[in-house]
Amino acid sequence: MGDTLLYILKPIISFLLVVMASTFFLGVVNKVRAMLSGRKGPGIFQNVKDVIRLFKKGFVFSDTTSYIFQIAPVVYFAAVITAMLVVPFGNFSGIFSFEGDFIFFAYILAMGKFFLIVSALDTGSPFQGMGANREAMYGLLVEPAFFILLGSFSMLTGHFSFYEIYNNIHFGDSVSYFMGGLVTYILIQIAMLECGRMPVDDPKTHLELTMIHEVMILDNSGFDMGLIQTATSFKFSLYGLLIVNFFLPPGTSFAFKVGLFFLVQLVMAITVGFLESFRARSRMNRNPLIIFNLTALSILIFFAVLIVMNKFSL
Amino acid sequence: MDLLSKIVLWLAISLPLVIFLPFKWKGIFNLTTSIILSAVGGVLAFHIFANGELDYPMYVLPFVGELRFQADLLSAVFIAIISVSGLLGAIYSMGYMKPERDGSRMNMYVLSYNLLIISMYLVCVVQNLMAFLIIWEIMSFCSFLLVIIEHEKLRTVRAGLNYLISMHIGVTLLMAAVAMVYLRTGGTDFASIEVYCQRFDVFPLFLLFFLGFGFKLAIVPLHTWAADTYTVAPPHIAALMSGAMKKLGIYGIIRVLIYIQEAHSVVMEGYNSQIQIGIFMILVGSASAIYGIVNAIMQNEMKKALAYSSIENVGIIIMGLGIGFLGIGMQDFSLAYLGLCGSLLHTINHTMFKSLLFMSAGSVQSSINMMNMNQMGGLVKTMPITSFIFLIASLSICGLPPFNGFVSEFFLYGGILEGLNATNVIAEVFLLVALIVLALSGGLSLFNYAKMFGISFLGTPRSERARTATETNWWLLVPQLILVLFILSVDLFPFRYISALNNVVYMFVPRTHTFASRLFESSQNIALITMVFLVLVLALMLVRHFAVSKAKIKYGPTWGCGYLVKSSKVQYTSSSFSQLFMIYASPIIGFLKRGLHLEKDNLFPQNHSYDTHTFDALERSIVKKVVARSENFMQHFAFLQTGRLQHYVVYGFAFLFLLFVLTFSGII
Repeated sequence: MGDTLLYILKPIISFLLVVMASTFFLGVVNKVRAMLSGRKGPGIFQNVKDVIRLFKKGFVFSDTTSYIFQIAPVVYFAAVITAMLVVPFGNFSGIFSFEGDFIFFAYILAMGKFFLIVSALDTGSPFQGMGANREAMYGLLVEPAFFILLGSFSMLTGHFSFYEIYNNIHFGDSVSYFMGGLVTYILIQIAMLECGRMPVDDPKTHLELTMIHEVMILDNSGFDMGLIQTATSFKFSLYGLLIVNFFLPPGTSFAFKVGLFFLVQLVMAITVGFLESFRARSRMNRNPLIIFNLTALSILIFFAVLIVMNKFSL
Repeated sequence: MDLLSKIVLWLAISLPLVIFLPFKWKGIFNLTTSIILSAVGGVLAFHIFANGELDYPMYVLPFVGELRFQADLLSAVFIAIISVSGLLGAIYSMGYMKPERDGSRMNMYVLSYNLLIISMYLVCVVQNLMAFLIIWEIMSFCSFLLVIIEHEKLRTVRAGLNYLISMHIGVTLLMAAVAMVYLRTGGTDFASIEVYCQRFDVFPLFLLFFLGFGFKLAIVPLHTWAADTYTVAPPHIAALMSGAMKKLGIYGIIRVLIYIQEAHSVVMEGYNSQIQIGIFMILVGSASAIYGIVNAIMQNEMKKALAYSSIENVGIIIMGLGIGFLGIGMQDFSLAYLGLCGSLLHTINHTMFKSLLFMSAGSVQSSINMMNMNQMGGLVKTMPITSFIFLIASLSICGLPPFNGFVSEFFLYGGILEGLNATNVIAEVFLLVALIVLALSGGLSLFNYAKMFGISFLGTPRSERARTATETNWWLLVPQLILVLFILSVDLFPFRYISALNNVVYMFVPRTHTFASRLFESSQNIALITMVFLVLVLALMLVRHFAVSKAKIKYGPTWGCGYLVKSSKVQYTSSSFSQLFMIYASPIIGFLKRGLHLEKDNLFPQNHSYDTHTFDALERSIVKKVVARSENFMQHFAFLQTGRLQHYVVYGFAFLFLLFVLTFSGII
């Protein structure tokens, strides 16, 4: 019985896990932040409640906006969902798995981002233009890091899809532990950046002038806002899944892997909470430096892979 | 073939008839001839795709002798591109050229437009290098006439001359390359390059050809003509030049590469001249890609930004060719396949979306009569069809998944990843560069086109002219809608296009089906997942529709964080959108601030002006200096320019005499 259920659920297992993790991820982050600042804080499922409330609410549209503003949240949400379809969980491949699926992954997320940016410009608001500008700026700088990272691992394993890469990766010696650490760091940073968190952006700030992601969606309301918030929390746990996949030991039971997944997500959320509590948002003009650092680190991984593969013995 | 060449010949002869036609009929005449020409091209291309290459010797004129026309699959691809762009341009011009009741301008236009298309066809089929140079020159000259067709403005003539001079430097380099082949092998056919390669080092020859074609392609740093030329040219001419004529530079490079792929010159162990050429092209392409797109972001004028973005795309195409040739050098044929196929597909894709972008920019221009994005905004409401077309084109040029740009960029990424698995460390490092450049330029084009679309079409109008814009006429819209259909066709049936291109790639790569079948699997999966994405979007739209219909909806002004400033001036503009980016790109862009200079004793407020503008850093730091140097040098010969006809006749006579003496004494 359990086996057949697993067989049916197999392709969508990663999808379900991401959805499940996303329900509590941001809640845990906020809870940790609240506790560290001496408050009780909302429950960890508060975000889900917020989103449900948003789905039921009415709309306020700006007179300036056009159809772009109406379709953008839908495209953004659909893009994140589609991106979720190619990410595997351990030895359970995603619904789609093909050579070069991580290229598709990056570009479909960019598709969603494009629409969010133009919908922000559609409102004609100076604040949203600012957010759009920053989001576009930081989003474009982070792409090379992601591609070099995945390119290095496809070089290491000789495969071109998420599923094959994850299933052929072997962390064995000291160099690869070093790589594992770097990968985790880079992916967490990319996730923070893509989802508009510290140190690049502070979602809890009160001044619109210093926001990035939040200020871009100022005019969205009701159902649209719900879609955007859900998509953002999906995105966060999606990156969490990318990290977890690097460390799932092969040959262990399914239950163990799922347990590990939730554990890592929880640890990651708590870490993010801690980081955000004790760290100030960096100055706007320092952000690109952080992002360039990520690219530099991923180039380091590239050369580490070359060393691991003994390619330098000319 | 005989029939086709006769049709083209008679058409060319009958072109001057346009002078005697009444004004009303001139446009129709142009449309008719263009339809005939594109039908000829289409038939030829289909014939070659179906039956393989054509070899057709033709007796042209008594003093030229027999000229061999050979059209292979490579020619067919480019003939198809020209045929489609030529026809669409002609339809577009019916709407664009109408307002001017100027007969002589129209005559000039019709003549040079048709001759341009004929010469572009001929460039693709002619085998003799001398004839190739002559036709290449005719092509450049016709396009020059088309660029300056609106010659009242000084700026237009200046840009046109800049273009003409650049083309001539390019053709001089090509002549040098042809001379090199001729002197060392005695042959004047493309095929003699192969003979050359067996005896001599191939890289210098390749470099000459590459730079010669590079002027047409506007690769960095030979690009300085491009920005101004595309800005002043009529939009459909810019579309034709960027979409089709520029591609003939790619054609030339590939044609040369065909003959040097077998060259056996080994530079050092594990590093032959093919690898050398491949790496060279990757580096030049990368530089063009980054420089082009960075400068595109800095522009406020729509067509200028598009021109710079063309430089970027050509860079990506060259980079793809480089990756492919690297693969040939390393005998890694799946790398070669992916690189070449990706770059050819990107060539076709670029024709579609860049023509489309230029044409829709032209629609905007014809409606509001300006191109400064800082003055636009809100056009999505007044020009809904144009803005929708611009959106589609932007999405596809950014390579975003449901559209055609993604397919070709996917191939190039695939090629790079494939190459990373090879064993050559040198190659790997350069492929890493290519990977970074491709990822970065993808991100930068997203920034650029989000800016262009968002600033010019969305928000509130920033000027009175933008407020009162109206949708353009159907002559302008129909060719654009046709191009949108082409874009969708690449997206839905990528394998139709790939199998046509496969035959070109098999000129370089042994004919096996392993890469093709692997790609087929991937592209099928992509098509499928794209469908899922589209279905998801539609389903969510439906859900949202219900949500909207049930919910309470209020309309109001945009939330201004507590303020309600009813001014369009508070919006982000094109300049302010690129401001943040400018800080980080400053090493490679030129930027100038003027004004805001306060004297020490300036205690009281008074009027001040302040303006900033960007310029092409490479143009100023390299090209302008070279030009100034050579101008100084040429001053020494200024005394020859007396302005008297008699003197000029003497010069000609002296030259002939010199030739006679030299020949007689056996020096040449």
